[in-house]
Amino acid sequence: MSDPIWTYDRFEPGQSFGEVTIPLDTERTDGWAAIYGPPTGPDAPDGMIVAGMMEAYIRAIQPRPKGNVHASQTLAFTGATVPLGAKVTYHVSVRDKALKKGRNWVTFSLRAEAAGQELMTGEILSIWAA
Amino acid sequence: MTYPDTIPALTIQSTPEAAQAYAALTQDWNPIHLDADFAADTPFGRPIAHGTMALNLLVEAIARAGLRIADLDIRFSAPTYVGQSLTATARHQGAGSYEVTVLAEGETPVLTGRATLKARG
Repeated sequence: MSDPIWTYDRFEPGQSFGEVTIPLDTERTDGWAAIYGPPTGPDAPDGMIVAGMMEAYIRAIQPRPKGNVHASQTLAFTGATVPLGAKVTYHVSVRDKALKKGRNWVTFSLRAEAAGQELMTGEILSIWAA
Repeated sequence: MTYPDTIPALTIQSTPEAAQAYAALTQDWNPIHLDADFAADTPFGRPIAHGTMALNLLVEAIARAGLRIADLDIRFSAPTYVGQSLTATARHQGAGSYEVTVLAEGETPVLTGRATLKARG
């Protein structure tokens, strides 16, 4: 039997979706290079950390309804770097939720770290479809 | 440090090939970004680019200017249709605070907000 879809009612502030580890591997680096150009040094571009955040967010919360809207985003980089080829671990949790004008607003918190160093934090504000 | 008045504009094309590459980058294979037939039955009517394709263009433009994001707060103000150009810019407001924008086709804001930037390294 498949898992039930994650709906707004099932989210609770403080709820953790655990960790997702993303390798900054050749496939992802090639995807980055095809759009933004090749990385210029041994370290991952900041944007690859953001891309990994999106992958972690999608992978951590499954299955999900179709039609969610990514409405806004915060980000903060610590200045720490991570080399291409390394793995980044993302911690995914629910910070808050609110019903406004009939729409389901959910704020997800994400924190990226590699080799014990925090790289970035961010919050994704989504309008959840169901 | 001295902050530049503007971050040099950086432009990409959100082609179908770029949408495929971004899907590989994020492992987000949502057909609304990739499948014209699927997208035709959505309110958008045609494929839209991944929202964070525009965000990462801004992140890359800031990095190329030798800066990093200490904090950023943006909203996605409109969809980008696959095939449109995206251009990221940022304008200094003082003390390292920037107004940030990504435009589709050089005129439609698809991402707006603010960021505090610091020197890299």
